[in-house]
Amino acid sequence: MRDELKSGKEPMLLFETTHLTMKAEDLFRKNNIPNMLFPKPKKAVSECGLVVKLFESDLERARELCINSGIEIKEVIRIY
Amino acid sequence: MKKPVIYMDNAATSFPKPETVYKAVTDAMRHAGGNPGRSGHRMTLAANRFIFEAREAVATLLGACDSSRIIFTSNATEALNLAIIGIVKDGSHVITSNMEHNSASRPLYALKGRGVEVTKIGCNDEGLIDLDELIRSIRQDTSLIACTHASNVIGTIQPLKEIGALARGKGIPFLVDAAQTAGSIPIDVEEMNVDLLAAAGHKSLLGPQGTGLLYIAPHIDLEPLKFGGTGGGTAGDEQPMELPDRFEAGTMNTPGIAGLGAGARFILETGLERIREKEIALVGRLIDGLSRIDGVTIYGPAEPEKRAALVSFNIEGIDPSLLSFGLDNDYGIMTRGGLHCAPDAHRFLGTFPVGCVRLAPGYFNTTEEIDAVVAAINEIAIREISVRDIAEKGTP
Repeated sequence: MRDELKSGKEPMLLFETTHLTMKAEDLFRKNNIPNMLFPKPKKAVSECGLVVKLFESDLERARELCINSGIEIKEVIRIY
Repeated sequence: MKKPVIYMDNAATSFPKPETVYKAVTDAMRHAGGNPGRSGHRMTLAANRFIFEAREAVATLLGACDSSRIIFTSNATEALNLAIIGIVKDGSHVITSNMEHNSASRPLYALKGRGVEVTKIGCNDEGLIDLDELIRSIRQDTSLIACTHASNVIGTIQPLKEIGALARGKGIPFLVDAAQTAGSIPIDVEEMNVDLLAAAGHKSLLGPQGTGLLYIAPHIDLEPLKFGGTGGGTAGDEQPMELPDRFEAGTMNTPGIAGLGAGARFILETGLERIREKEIALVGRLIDGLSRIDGVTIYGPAEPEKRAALVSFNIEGIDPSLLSFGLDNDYGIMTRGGLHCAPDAHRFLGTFPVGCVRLAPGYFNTTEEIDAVVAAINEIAIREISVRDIAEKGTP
């Protein structure tokens, strides 16, 4: 699963702070949404830190969970 | 044979810590040695998790819905400085009390150089803030009401909810110094209308020294105290606006915060009410025992429910610093003598400049230890009375 996420061109969720990134990761883990923390792709974001990468098929559910938990997704990054 | 020791200085720093705290600190050092919020390797992620979990646990304890509004600092003093210097406007007015620790009163005093006027309101005999005087002191330009949740000298618990409602009604930010109470006395920042709350991580929250925190309510606009790298928002020249990054520039104290998180989780798992109940019982036993000793003066409210877990006292005719030294040296009892960094409180008590001795039991103390402390103080008091009698009347 980790390898599929690592190598696949799956969406990455960008959050405003590391705290929110960790909060989202914790939320996805508790709700059995496979995910992995991934370095922010410099092509898309010129700053340090992490994004949460997940499968396209889980994106809508992940969005919904974030909205319900007050976690704002700054951007959904896709690199093709 | 090694003499048993009794730690009665929990109001300064709690000891011992729960085993999970020691483990979290070493685990963080051994397995989460990366720099939190920077890069993305496994040790950084582990550090991020320690900090995230600590923030969540502390937020739950304080009734803060949004854990990103918990800012980690190096102690309560830094948290109070951040709050006071970050919110008080030049040339404005601040209301505080005469029960404050220097960690609040000194940054307020320093603001006088920026034209800030400080009104220190008085307390009643039990050390409770005079609410009428507080209301009378409010002015058009009052930019902050700052008070301790419980005095570190006499322990009196202030009516936060009433003061908070009053401040909120007038639109004045309300800062609470919860150094003596966070983790041992229930706090709900939202229910109590608290806008800013500073706490030490190494006292009742049972974490290591070098940790503290500031809660910042969502509507509060605060200027940072320090500026620098935050991991996120790297490209801009300005400090990011988002919390907690805005106030946490520089590499964080991951091992300390991991320990603080473990301390907070220990409290949540044990139950804060249970901790409070035990501390009330220990303080009640202490007050009861001390009040039976001739020559002993106890300061603060008689009812243990009205205090944080501390009892300050003096024995007539004995210098409190020497008494504190003697308790350690002769009986292995560790206390805090002197002015407790709160000269105003001692002026109020009439114990300035010598101070008094503070006994501060914690959750891990036992009734047997309280009895041993009372017995030691009784012995010292009897000895002092006989010495005084001999000095006054001569040998029998």
